[in-house]
Amino acid sequence: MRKGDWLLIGGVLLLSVAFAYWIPHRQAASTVIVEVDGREAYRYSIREDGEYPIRGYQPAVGRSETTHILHIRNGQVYVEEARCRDKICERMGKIDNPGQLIVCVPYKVLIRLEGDRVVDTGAHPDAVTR
Amino acid sequence: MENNRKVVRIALFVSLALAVYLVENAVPVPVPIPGFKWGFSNFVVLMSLTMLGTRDVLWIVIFKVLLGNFLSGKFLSPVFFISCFGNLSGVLSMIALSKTRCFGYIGISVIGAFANNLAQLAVCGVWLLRSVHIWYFFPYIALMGTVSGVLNALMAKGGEQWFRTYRKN
Repeated sequence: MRKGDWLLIGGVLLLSVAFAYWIPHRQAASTVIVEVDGREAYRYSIREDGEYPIRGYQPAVGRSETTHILHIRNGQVYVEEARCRDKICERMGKIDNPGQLIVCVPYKVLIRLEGDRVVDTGAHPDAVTR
Repeated sequence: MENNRKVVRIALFVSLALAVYLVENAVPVPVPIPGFKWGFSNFVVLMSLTMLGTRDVLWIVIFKVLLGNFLSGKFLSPVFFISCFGNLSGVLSMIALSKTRCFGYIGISVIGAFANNLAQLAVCGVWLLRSVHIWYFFPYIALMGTVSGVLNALMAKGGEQWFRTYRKN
């Protein structure tokens, strides 16, 4: 192994650690956001259990049909009854933390969680930033 | 005669890459990322980088992507486009890096995997899903890309040695 190889591996690892800081962490999820084709299409509270139909991006049928069922149960979010062939979004399982995603590429659906970050100053335990 | 040898080599490498491409799905993936693949077939590309010319390497990658997607029934699906851009940027970065002669198999392989993954995420984020949040996956794929890059480098080294001893006999 040459010196350049070590430098490259170090650089890639450093970059991924830096990126990990950008991803929301140490947050409690509060909101479920469903993006369809890059736009926010649905927004639910994670504290209310329910099953919601999601209409993915379907230019051929003009976005009228349900493509997935979004389940929110006990603070966990998952997808069932996906209409696509590969069912990758179903296999992604349950997510419960901001920074985790459920993605459906064929219908351009991206499900993410947003949380409230509690600022750890000690003086104001209830202070919340977005 | 030399040309025949070249054609046979390209065909051999393409079929080897295709076999790995189709079989690697059986290897479990430890990250929660949809559609993540190990990309082990790239060890064949890596190997061909030292054993064949630049143009031949590009042909191998083009055949690998086209035939691999034909055989798995994903031709012209979103996955096909992700795979096209990923493989193209992967092989171009590997060719560029191998020209500098500052890096061994491992560095070239790791950068190839990294460029491949980066391009795939970019296609997803900018074109397919049009959401910046897809980059949440970046640390996972950068780490996994490094792991698979190192594994590919080891396999390529082994493969190259096998080819050399095979030629002597």
